[in-house]
Amino acid sequence: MSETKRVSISAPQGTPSEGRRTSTTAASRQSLAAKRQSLNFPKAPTVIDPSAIVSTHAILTGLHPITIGPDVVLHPYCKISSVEGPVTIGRGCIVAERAVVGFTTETAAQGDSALKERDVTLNRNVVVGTSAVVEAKVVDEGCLVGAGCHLKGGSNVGKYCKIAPMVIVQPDEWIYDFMVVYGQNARRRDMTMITNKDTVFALKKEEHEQHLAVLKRLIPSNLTKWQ
Amino acid sequence: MSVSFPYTYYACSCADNTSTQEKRVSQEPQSAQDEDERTFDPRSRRSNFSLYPIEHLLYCTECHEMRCPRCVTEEVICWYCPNCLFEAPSSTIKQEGHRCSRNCFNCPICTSPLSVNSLEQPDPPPDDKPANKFGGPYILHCPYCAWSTLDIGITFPRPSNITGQLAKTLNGGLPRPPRDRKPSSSLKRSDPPTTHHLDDLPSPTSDTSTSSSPEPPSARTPDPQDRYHHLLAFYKHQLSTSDAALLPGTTSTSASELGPGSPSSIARLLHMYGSSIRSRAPESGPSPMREAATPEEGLLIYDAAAEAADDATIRAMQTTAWDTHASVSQRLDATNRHARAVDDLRPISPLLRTKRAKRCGACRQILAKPEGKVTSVRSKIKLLALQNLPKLSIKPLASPSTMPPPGTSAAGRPTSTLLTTFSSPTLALPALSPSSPFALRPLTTTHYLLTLTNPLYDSIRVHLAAPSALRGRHGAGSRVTILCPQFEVGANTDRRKKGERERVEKVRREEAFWTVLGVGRIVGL
Repeated sequence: MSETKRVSISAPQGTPSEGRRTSTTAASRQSLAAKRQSLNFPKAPTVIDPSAIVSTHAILTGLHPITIGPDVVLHPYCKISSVEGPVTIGRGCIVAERAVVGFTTETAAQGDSALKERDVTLNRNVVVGTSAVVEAKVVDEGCLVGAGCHLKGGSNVGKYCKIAPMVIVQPDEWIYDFMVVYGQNARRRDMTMITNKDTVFALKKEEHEQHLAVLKRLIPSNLTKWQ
Repeated sequence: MSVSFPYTYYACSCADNTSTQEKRVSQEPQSAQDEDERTFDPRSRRSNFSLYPIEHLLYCTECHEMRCPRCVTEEVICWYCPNCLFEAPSSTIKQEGHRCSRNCFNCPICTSPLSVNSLEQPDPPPDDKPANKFGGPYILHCPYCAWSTLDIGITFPRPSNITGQLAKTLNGGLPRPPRDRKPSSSLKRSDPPTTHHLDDLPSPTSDTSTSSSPEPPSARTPDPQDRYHHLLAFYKHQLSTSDAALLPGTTSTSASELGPGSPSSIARLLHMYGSSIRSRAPESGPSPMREAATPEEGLLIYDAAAEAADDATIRAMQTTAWDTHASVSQRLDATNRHARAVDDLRPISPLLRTKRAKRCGACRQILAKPEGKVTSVRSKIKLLALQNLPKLSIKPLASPSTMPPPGTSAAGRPTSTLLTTFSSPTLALPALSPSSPFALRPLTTTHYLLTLTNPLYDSIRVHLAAPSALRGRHGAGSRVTILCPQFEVGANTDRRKKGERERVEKVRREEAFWTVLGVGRIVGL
């Protein structure tokens, strides 16, 4: 009932087509989500591992298949878009809210039209920060993509990279393993990781597992919506 | 300064006073006409330094003058660290310098604050163990660019007193060799081997082979911090002893007094070449000091080994990758000035900040005084010009498009397109861009409205004046007509109690007691 109430409150500035809204709660929620994103999203064909956490308000849209591996956490209001190509999210990835993984219709229109392969793959344990946009071909294991980053189409990010917040990675760029991209596109190799593999790796792994455990406790999963 | 046109600046009289008075003293009395020319010219380059928006000005209630940043004196109230917001007592500043001596550090790569992280291995932990008990070695880690002290091979056994631990460790993790000889004790010897070392200077190879071979290698190439401490001790020693040694009566004949750099030799040379200087500056001035003459005193002797080291550095720079070199901005901080490679960088402890009180330069009255507490941003005292001087603001009376152009018709010539790049002067002060919608156009009359706001509780009488023709590069020949050159501004009618009034002022400072007064007109030629 609360949902319908919210709809009626927002009615004055809402769309004039009142008849499109149905009275069932699920449908009103759908229309709310649609209004929020100003787009009507078709459900994408998905393969989701049962251990993944996909929030109710996460958006999985597109025509190409979306594969979501085990232990993945998709925050509310994150968007996985397979409009232009298939999207694969590997084990233990975390996608924060308002982040976009995959090409959307708008970004595909802006980007390089000559770009043929528009599939996006996140390998194991990638963390995508708030409102980041990931259109990279591959983001390899253990990367951290900071808040507000934009990895443009066709770029490749190697293992254990860190993309600092608000960095823009240009199309077709290669970022090698253990690189840190920060500031005005400054780069350095993360010598802490390279020279102290055993200790720092173990610490990072532990940290990531704890992160996943906390999120699993906090975010209610709604897999049935997508299956 | 990108201020929207038109705007008003206030000219502080401090620069004016000094320059004109000096002129009066040095030159013969000028005529009255010359006096006119000395009125303030906002267009001269010098006046860039005495024009301020009223918000930047203070007001001295004793001298009844506005005070600009140039004519106030500042005094430090407290020192504090911008990272941890702890106040540092001034005695600590004098001893340890103006950097935070607690656990604050900035990243040498990207200057963001470092955090202390534990490196303890994650055991499969028993669940009852509290999560925040981290042990093991600690590192400083940059959360932004992922630099850590592991990059320079340093870990800390304890999470506290990082400054002390860092000072004892060299890059690479080796402990810094202790300063075995107390520099001050070596300085107290009556005859430091000054002449010996100076004689050896032309043949550095023999010097290194003979004298320095028994010494430990760290003494031959002292690291900058050690050298700094040596120099510091040397100068302290000099300061304490030079006065006594240089008393005119004492005749010291020790070996150190005969060297070319010794105080007595300097005094002798001064006597020979500068008798006039000596007669003018008697003994009361600071006595000359000897310079450091030995490595123990902090002298860095140039030798072939150093040159070889330089060559090695250059070779290394040629062969190694670009990102292993410290950039110029990374070397800008004094901590890392000597560092050439990224491996030589060290964490930077942040510079302390100060809170300052401002005093009137003439009468020493306190004009602004912030609260002593570091975390508070309020002021105890703040005498603003905004509360004591009438505020002038100027704006166009109507937009140029809708305004009737009487000047144009009078001159009989419409505005020529050839002249559109001509930028005219403003009634207020300098530069305006020709693209501004209210920019003056030639042969066009533009109306401006000058508004005065009187914050005082007495009425004021205002006389406006403008030069008959504007001078300067931009608007030569423009005329300014003030339609109402004299008028009175009523008193501030807000008669409430002070505390109450201030509360209200905060809310509606904008709409309080405006009095619209004069209408000016600027006519382009």
